[in-house]
Amino acid sequence: MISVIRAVKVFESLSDAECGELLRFMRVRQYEAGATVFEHGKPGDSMLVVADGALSVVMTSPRRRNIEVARVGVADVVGEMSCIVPAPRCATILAAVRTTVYELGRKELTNMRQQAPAVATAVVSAVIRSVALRLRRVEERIERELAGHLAARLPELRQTAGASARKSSRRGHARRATAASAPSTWTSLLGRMRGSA
Amino acid sequence: MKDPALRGLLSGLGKAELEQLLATTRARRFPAGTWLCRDGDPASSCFFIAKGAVEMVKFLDGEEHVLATLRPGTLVGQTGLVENSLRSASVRAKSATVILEIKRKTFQRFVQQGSPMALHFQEQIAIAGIRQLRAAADQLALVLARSVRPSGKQPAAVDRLALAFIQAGTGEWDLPLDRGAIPPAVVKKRQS
Repeated sequence: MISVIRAVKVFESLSDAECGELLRFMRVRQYEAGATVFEHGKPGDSMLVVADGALSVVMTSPRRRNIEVARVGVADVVGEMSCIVPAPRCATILAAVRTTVYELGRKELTNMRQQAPAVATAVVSAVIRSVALRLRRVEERIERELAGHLAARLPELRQTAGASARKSSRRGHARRATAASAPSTWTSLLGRMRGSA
Repeated sequence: MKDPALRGLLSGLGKAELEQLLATTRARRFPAGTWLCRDGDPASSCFFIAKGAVEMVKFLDGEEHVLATLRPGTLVGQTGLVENSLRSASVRAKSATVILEIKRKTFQRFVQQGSPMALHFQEQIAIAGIRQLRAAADQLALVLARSVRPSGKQPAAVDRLALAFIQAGTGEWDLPLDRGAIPPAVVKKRQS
């Protein structure tokens, strides 16, 4: 059993003893193939580690057909954030085959704080690292997408700058106008994005 | 410690932990206009604002943009407590400010000891990070929505499909995207 927790990327910093301790707080659940594990929109406050089998992440199309968007395999984790900040499930998860998972709920995490603070600390650290990594990935993606949008808008921006340059008939002003119109888009987006920092 | 500002973040801590925190952090004063840290600097501590106010500032193409103003009782630069991180914005004292600086090494010692204070702080860091990640995912949805071309008929269905497309496409399917992140105007325009 410990070997599964050992293999979980999110928990790689935990010692063997800590992994064993963590397992004490987790519940083992089994699902038959096709059984619903999480339902989209339903409240969630637990994380799952797949011990055996596989989970299928599905989203419902407008025609109510289930489309699989991701597979979750052995030693993969789902819902690690809702264990700390409960939130409605964002997708429906079904058991792709007969599957065994270890579940850690918010209540168990709270108990762990009292009974095994070192392990609780390690689990929360693991979640922080995973969140930090994902945040960086999402931010990079935003910056890339924005750079693409700005590049596509460059001719238009140049025209605007050209028009204002003709008005003021000074070249320095034109250059500043180009520089100023670009970051305003960035800032409004970055500002909203980092407002919660 | 009677300062109401200190209550927010530190409310979950007992007397012993508060004393431990005060004994291991350093109070630093920053006159208005001085910098607590700069964007891109290696980060090895976080700041708890005890008095005054600070601004989070980002420079883009030499232009200064204030992203947020933070008041007493707030933790800023929490990612500095996580290994190998860089400051993601500059922080400047808006008025005369007093902060408690918590060094990563100190914090890690508490973590290793399984101190309730460390756990409490960590949870605050995790919660702030999760909120930031959810906000960033919404922002990404907004940016990507411009390139989504749904083909459905009903607006609600188009909206749902667009969200599913974005969630799956970014690999962030377990993040709730705010439906408001995609302005109806974008969806309507795509329909016609």
